Amino acid sequence: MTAQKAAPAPAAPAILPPGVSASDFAGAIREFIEILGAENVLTDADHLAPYTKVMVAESEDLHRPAAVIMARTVEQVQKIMAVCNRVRVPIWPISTGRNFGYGSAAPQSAGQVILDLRHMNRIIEVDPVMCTALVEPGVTYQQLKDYLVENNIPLWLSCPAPSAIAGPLGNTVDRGVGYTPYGEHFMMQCGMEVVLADGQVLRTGMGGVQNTNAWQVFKWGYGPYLDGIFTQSNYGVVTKMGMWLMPQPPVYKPFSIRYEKDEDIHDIVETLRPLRIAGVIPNAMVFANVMWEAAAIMPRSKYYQGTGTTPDHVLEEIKAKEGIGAWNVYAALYGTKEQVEVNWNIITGAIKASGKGRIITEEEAGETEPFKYRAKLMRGDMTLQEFGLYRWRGGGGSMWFAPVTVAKGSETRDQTELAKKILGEFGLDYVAEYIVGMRDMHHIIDVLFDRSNPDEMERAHACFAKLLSEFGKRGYAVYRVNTAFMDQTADLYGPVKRHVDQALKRALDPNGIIAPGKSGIRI
Amino acid sequence: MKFRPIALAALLTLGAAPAVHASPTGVWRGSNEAWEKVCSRCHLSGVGPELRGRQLPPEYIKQVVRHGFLAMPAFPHGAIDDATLDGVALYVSKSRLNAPAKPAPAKKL
Repeated sequence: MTAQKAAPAPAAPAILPPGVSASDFAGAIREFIEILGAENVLTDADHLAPYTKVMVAESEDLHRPAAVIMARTVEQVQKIMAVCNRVRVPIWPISTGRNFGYGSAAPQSAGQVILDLRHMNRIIEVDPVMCTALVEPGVTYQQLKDYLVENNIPLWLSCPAPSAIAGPLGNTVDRGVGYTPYGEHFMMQCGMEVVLADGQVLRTGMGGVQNTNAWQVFKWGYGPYLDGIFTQSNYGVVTKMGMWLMPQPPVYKPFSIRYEKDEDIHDIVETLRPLRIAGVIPNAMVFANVMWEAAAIMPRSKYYQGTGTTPDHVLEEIKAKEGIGAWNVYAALYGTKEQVEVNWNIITGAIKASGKGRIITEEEAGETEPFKYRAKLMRGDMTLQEFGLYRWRGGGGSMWFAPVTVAKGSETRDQTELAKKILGEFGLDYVAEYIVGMRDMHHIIDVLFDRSNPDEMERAHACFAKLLSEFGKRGYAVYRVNTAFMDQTADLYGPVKRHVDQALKRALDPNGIIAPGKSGIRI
Repeated sequence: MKFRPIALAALLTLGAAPAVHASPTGVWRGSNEAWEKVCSRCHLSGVGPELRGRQLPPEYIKQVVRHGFLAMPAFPHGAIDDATLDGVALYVSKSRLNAPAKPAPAKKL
């Protein structure tokens, strides 16, 4: 992109990066325009507005960007780093910027410049033999899915819900998860390209070896394994990411198991954990509660007009009339007909022996929601159905409270009771699912609130802080958090961890120009 | 091995659609594709409000897309360019509820 001499002067920003003068920032903007072209440097209110909308429970003013710049090449990102170091302009890189409920596209603190990599969206390679892909940050799951379909490549993705508008690089470097056997996305990531703050371009794993063809097949390379330090961090800008894709199985058999009582969560975990660890159930199955299920199909106003916590008797009515369980398991089998049959018999035998739970097959569920969208998720298809969560109470407020849980029945019961109690104190709902990992579970609670109601927003903020601290007292901490609570969460992981995070930051980004505040890390 | 995306024939063009591209290149083929692959997933499934048949002014639609509104996310220019959004807004504005534009059936591998 060449500089456009006739470009109009950029609008004066409403907010400046901390410690940067208006004239210095204007100089930086001019340099960005030279590097990127005027059309890729956004400073006017209209163009910044989409990046300012947040769902977290505090004012957008705390997360307002000073500008947005859009790069298309690695070389441009390198040049941007040089300007940022010189003028001390902090940049907040985003891939597709669809991290709703974790901060959306907006920076952790006001005055950062968003580096939007949405246009850096090449699918560089898909290898149908090794079942790998190499993508840029702006590639969406929809784009990658279309590529596979249109080229008749029988590989499946694993996506978060909702999948269609998010992208694999951003989701994976924030250590998001999906619902297929490849649901632990960072485990299935292989090789990165990272632009460092000093402009060097690092290729991790096998990527530094000249003429290698193993970048996307061997994760560890040689010496210290580095990919992890570029996830949930601010040590570099990831510009390429390798990932493994799942071969389409001959048979796919999604199913649900419905449980009637809240306390059944204990037995669900005890019955299904051994099957997950043994690989009989291969995917990241979920246990979704009644409100999560209901939210996928209707607003709560269908049954309840109040504004506080949804009463238990209303939930009982919803369960009875809508045919929803207190807990609803979604899992799937993948493989040949024979493999699926063997595992199906093991699962149905285990459920029968446990004495509770009603199995629902795809044939029984037909086209009904939420089964249909769950079946899509477990094969990595595109859906936005889970945005129904935002319709449950309405008002556009959402923060994911996502403590890590040991996959033991007693622990899930304790966490569920504690979360429900605290949310109830603030008039909010326990809208939850457990996503089952290899040994852990992600206990995902969507703290939903009406962001247009200042009182409710304030309560949601206080509720989230209390959830973090009360869970923390019992040894529970979240795996990921929104931009409003990154420091409080970092504290839960202890002072030594914070010190090491900071030491790495000072070594790799001594001027602190990349995403200050991400995961509580600053110079 | 690297596959080259195959450009498909242009689908029904809605409004002022930009140049036709295969979407695996990351550029919308036209407004209809953006509608089908993003907007309609909520607004035809009951997750978001029904928009068709309401003669909503295109300017209003564009304003809501760019700024978001309560649960409706905001979409920056990097996610949908002005020309594509113009087409979506025009389509939604002129749509009739009794002639729904159904999303294309899911392709099976």
